[in-house]
Amino acid sequence: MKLSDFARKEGKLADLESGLMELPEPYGKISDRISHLKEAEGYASDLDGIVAVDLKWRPKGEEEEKELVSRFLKGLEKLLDWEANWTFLYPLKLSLDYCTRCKSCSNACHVYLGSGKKEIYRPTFRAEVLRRLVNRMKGNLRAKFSGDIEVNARLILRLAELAYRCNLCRRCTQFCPLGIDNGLITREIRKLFSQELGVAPRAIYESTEKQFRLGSSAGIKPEAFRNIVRFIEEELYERTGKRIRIPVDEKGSEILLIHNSGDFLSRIENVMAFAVIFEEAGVDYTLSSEAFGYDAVNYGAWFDDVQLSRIALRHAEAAVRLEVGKIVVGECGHAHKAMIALADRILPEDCRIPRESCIPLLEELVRKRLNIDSSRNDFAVTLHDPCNIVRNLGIVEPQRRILRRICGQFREMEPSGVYNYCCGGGGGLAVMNSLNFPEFRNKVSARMKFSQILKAFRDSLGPNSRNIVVAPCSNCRSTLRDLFEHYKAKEICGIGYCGLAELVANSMVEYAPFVEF
Amino acid sequence: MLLFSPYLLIRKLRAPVRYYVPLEDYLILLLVIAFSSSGVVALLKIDSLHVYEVFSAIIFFSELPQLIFFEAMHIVAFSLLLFLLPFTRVTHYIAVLFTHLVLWDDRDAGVVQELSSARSSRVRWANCANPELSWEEIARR
Repeated sequence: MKLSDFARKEGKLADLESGLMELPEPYGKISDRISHLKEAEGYASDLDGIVAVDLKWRPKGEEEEKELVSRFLKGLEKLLDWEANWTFLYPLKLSLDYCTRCKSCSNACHVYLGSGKKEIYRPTFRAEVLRRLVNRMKGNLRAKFSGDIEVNARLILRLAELAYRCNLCRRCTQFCPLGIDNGLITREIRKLFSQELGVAPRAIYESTEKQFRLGSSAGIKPEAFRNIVRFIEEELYERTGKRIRIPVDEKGSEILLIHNSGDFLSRIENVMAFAVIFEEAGVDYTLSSEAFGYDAVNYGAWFDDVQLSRIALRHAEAAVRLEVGKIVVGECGHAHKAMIALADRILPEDCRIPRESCIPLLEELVRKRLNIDSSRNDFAVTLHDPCNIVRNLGIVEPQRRILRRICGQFREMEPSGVYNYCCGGGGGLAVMNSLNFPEFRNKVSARMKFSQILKAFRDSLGPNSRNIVVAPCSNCRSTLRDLFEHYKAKEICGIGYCGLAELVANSMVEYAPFVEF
Repeated sequence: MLLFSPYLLIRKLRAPVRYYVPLEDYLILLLVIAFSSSGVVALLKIDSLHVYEVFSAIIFFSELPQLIFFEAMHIVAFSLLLFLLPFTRVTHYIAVLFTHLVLWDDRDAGVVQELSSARSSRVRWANCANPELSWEEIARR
């Protein structure tokens, strides 16, 4: 398929009904069929039949098409302008200018490999479309010499969809001999659509809107949050027989711990585990019941600089008002990146409070302050490395030292560490559950991860086994949950998942095991 | 170079790679092939004394001996390569070895000022623009 086909060819550009990467046994002979939506319904689904941007925004005539193209080109100009796009302009320009089209990125990309090497999923395919659009902007001669592409409504609709076939995991960047950041290029394409055209998948846009309206992306209001914390304390007492107080809004604490608010609804064991660990280790910490203070989520990191900065600022302000020493980010990968790395560019001087990951802190507590019995975790365990924690922040060893200490049967996936594959839910794909998008995630973007997990547990698969994937990231856990449900991994292979803190709490001598895997 | 450059060229002429490769990439590759192949052919046709005379003439600006076609092609191709190389991505393979010397320190006053100035610029994006507000003001809203 040629790049020019992206703007000209009618019909789907990739057929996901066949040719996907084969999975290891016992799933080798399963054929995954993807259900498709009809184009007549008004969604832009002619990229590959999957709909990520679940808005009916296809233009209805020539006038609307011209207007779409005009607005898109205005956005493209702003993308390359310092004043409009100062946040990531330099690495974007370097990544656009320096690609040698060697295709090392393609063989590193789990989406490309999982799809069965379909051309449109190459990291450099998407980047090359943007590159040629930029060349066009610079003039016809430049475009002819350096690569040209036709700009029309079809290209724009497809490009918006293609931007959500990438997990922003940066594995391509890891393998690129020049460090070209195709993940950043994808993220900038998403930004162009969101900040100029107001187009983004409903799930990530509405979660952000909920965060501003109600206080958290999961829709938990501050009063409901306080009730949930009391419920968790009661639940802890029922499961462990011990009264553990979870401090909330305690001014002057050393640490403000911020979880992904989804964990308060769907995985309270993780919150409970942190409470147990910190109580036993005597850590001076608090949660916050202020809006934004109990939700580490910052979906702006995936698609919109304005949302990113607004949310990051509010996280810092919540901590400043509580007069805490630092923010510790709970098990949430993108929150790690947004709060610890990206916020450095955005926070004004009065909000520059220290921000840290929970993982090195957990490692220190396991090493120095907790009594651990590793026989309590006597089952096969492997570690899924969240992209934002390993590749984007370089936190690779502490979680492994913890697992070697608390688990007798820990084994690595291959590859692991900074070379690990994304779970398939990164970059917002984990929370996009409308129309037929979950099929893309379960069958294509998470395919390589499922293959890794099956290979890691190849000697212990079975319905009566217990094989646990540790994922220190809330969205990775959501993706794995959906993935395992889709493939009936627990029933067929005995595969489950949990967070890192839960496994630590499960190994603590002073507490009866309370985590349900 | 003589073995690998033709392989690269063939690779860049075959689908799907050729759909991504712009014309400027072919130019450099053709120059490398011209430079390496003309050098090998010239070496086969001339003796070492002639090579010495040519080098001496270039270095000391003395009279050049009579050049054969492949020698001239070799010198021209090399000169063009040297001229074009700084404008290509190949330079990055050398420069990347020195990037550790360029340290990014956010505490540096220049960077802090630059970011502060950027935060006070107006947000011009159509979906979030308010002509009265800067990035910092919109973030605090």
